[in-house]
Amino acid sequence: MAKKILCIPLDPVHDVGIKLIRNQLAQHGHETELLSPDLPMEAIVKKAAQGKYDFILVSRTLGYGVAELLARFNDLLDAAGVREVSKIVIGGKPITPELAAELGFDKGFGEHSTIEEVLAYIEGREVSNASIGPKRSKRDIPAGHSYKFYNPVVERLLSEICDKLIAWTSTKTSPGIERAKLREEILASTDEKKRAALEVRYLSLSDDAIRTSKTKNVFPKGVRRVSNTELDALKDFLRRSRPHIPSTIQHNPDQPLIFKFLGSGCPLMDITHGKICERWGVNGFLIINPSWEARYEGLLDGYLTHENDGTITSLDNLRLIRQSLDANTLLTVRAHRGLNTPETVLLAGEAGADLTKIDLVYGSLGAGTDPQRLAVDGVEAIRLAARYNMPFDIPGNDELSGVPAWKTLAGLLVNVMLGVKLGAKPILKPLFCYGPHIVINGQMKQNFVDYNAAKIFALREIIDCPIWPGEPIAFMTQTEERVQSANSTSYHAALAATLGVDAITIASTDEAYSRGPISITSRIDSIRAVTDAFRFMGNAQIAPTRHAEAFTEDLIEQITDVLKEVNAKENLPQAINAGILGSEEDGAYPGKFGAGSMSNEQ
Amino acid sequence: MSEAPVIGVVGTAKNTGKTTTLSYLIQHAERRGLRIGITGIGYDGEELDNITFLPKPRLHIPPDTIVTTSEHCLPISTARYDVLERTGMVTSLGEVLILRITKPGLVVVAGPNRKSTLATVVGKMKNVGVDFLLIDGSLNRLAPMAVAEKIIFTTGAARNIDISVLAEEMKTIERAFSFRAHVRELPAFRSIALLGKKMTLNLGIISLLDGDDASMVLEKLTDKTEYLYIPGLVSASALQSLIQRLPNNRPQLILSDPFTLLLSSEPPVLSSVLDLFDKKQLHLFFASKPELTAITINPFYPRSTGTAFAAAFVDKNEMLSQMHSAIHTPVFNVKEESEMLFSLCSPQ
Repeated sequence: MAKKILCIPLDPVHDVGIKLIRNQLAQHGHETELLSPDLPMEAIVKKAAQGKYDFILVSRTLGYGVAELLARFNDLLDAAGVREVSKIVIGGKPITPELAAELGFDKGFGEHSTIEEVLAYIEGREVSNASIGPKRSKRDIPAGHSYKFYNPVVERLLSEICDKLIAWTSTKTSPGIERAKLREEILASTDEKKRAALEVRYLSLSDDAIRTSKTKNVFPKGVRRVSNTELDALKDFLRRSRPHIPSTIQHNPDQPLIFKFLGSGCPLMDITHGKICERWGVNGFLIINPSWEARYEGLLDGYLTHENDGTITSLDNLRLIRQSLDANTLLTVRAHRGLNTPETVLLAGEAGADLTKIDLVYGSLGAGTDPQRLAVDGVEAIRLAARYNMPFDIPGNDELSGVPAWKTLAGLLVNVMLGVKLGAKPILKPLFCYGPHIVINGQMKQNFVDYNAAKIFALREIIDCPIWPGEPIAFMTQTEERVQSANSTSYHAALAATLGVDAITIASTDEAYSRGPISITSRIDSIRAVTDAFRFMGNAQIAPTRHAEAFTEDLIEQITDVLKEVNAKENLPQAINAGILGSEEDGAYPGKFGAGSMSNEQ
Repeated sequence: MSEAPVIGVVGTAKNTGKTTTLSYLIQHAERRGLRIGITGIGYDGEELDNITFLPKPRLHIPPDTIVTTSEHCLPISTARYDVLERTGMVTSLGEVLILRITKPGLVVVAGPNRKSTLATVVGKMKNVGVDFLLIDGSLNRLAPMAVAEKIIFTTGAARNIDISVLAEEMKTIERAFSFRAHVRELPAFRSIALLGKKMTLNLGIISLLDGDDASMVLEKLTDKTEYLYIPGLVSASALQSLIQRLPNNRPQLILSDPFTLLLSSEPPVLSSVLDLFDKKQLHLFFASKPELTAITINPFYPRSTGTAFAAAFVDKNEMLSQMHSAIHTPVFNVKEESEMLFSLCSPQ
């Protein structure tokens, strides 16, 4: 039945909301009247009393003394008998049910209320779930990409490099690969005795620190078990968390997915941050492990927390995080650096992660692992990623050490070809940043747009592969000032959207300066900034200057030259050790962890 | 039916000490073994003030208390309770429930917030059987509190940091409560009416809001009109316009309750309207009249620091002394004199 509704903008400026709602109510067949915003209270009360309205909707922003003003407004309506006839409803950004009650209204609608909720209330029916807020859905990032090469020269070079690498690794194994196999057997085994025997073999292939943790319960410094009380508290928190209407960051479905890091050291804090970020529309998270974890042979078990950067990638931790997050939230587990790469991919797959992160080049040059060891482990890890149907992303963060973009991009492409050959789905992650090499050599003197765009154009001229700039975007353009950081992130996000990439990783505004765990407010800063940038851009375009074309041509030529040099070497590790993909002069140093640990496969 | 006094705690503004006053009354009533009933017209008892984000006291409710609150307030309350009745009334925080507290604890009390529904739950709580019934106000809200029989006004620096203004204001409030309740039987309908010997004229509107309403009353007025009854709201400007054009000494005016006078305008304007009544020798009555039992003062106020609010205080002794000299109603600093306040409210 049509209702009779009086709309009162008690605020001369902020009356857009009530006009919008009035329009919707009228479209749904209700009889509405809108008062002008400057009437004295007595005139409003007289109008309200004469009209015999079913509902009186009031909009007002809150400020000093406004609470008292609104309370008085309700008093006047009450004393005039209007409240016997009409329900009095307040709408405004800061309005909560508690505030509506305190001010004396029958009902309140706030920033996160939907038009459907208002309509349902007016029409005296349940809210239709179909229209509550945006639905979260899981996008398959590689879908729609063919992995077809458009540059035959680059394709041939990559193919030869990868064939040699696969052949070179085919006769080799490592403690990392053996542990991954043992772990798989342990997880599959139902026989206690057999499992115990497998555990003993696992420990024989592990470092002392891991052995001591498992046999004597003495953990590396700063690590302890999460207590049952803490786990119960988490369950209680998740149970009590109020249902919410999630925001969406994307203004249209073609805009990039938004990823954030999780790696506070504590899985419970990660989950708490994750749940809040989900509410603000973040599509996925990358779990970042502690740097020491990469240096030890062997992984720890159980629910573990770590009083430092990086969350321990035990199966229990990964499962806990996966199960606590929304089923439609994408989860990536970093595997590529260190001595546990294949096993980490296996655990990620077992825990239900959606993606993993493997980069044979960066893992050696920027993360300290011996190039030969990581080549052997990496090939196996990519095979496992293919088996678990987890796409893997390849972060080009070598550029942050000072490696020029073309060397880094050449390294990314080697990983892509390796992935394609091993049946996996690789994702390119060129940096969107003001890298040290760029600072020194001036490619971004004119603007930040041309060179970042040129990287994407160059990769796209070479192959049709998903692209996910990272990691995070806007690196080295952000400062300690949160507003500046949020702005800079949002500009880079706008550029990413305009270039039509598949996803981006964004930092919190205190990511580089938090001096400890980053804060949730700073996470929301950058999410909100990017949401606004996406809204601002819509489907409009940022136009790079003609320099972008020249940069693109240069990059393709430089990438081709680097790959020729790589291919001139016997295998990829040799090329890495020779500095072809990043030299000591650039700031890249081939890692030493796990050197000489490979053996020929039995 | 019990003869429990119904006490309403009314604030002149937020942060004037409603919840503190209420807490003391609860403590004293509990100590004397009285069964308390309590409801509130707002959302009091939250940990932080909804607007200034400063901590607020929360109500600790003793066992066997009868509480009326809204359903969504229950999960954040720590007391245990039995639900005695689901009333079917709804606030923005869900259905209004009548509870009996079985294990003491903190409770957020947010019952119905308009006069007629408040009157209904007060009746229901009396029927359950209570010795001492409290209504917690909200902000500066007045209209629903006409349901109470004894009124405690809370005022303080949060309303105005100028003590002399507060004292002057309270003098006007006291004056509004000084008129008597009317004993004549009033019409069953709820409209402005002209009443005389064997005559009742229904004017068809509830409230007297502007000069047009006043003119309509004046047009219908005759020598036979003894009383002008206004059951709804009156505005100061309409009252002024009416009184100025009335003859001296008649008709007598009957308003709903003292709160309608307080709602007609801010105290300084109301004071001049009441002067006008005196000048014209007009008599004013109320259809129902709660007693102004006491006033409590609170020297605290939230001082804005630009980005947030900080706690600040005015001189409490100066405040008490100026109040005492301005008004006859007992004034208490509730944190020091709650015992005396309670003795004025208690059923014995």
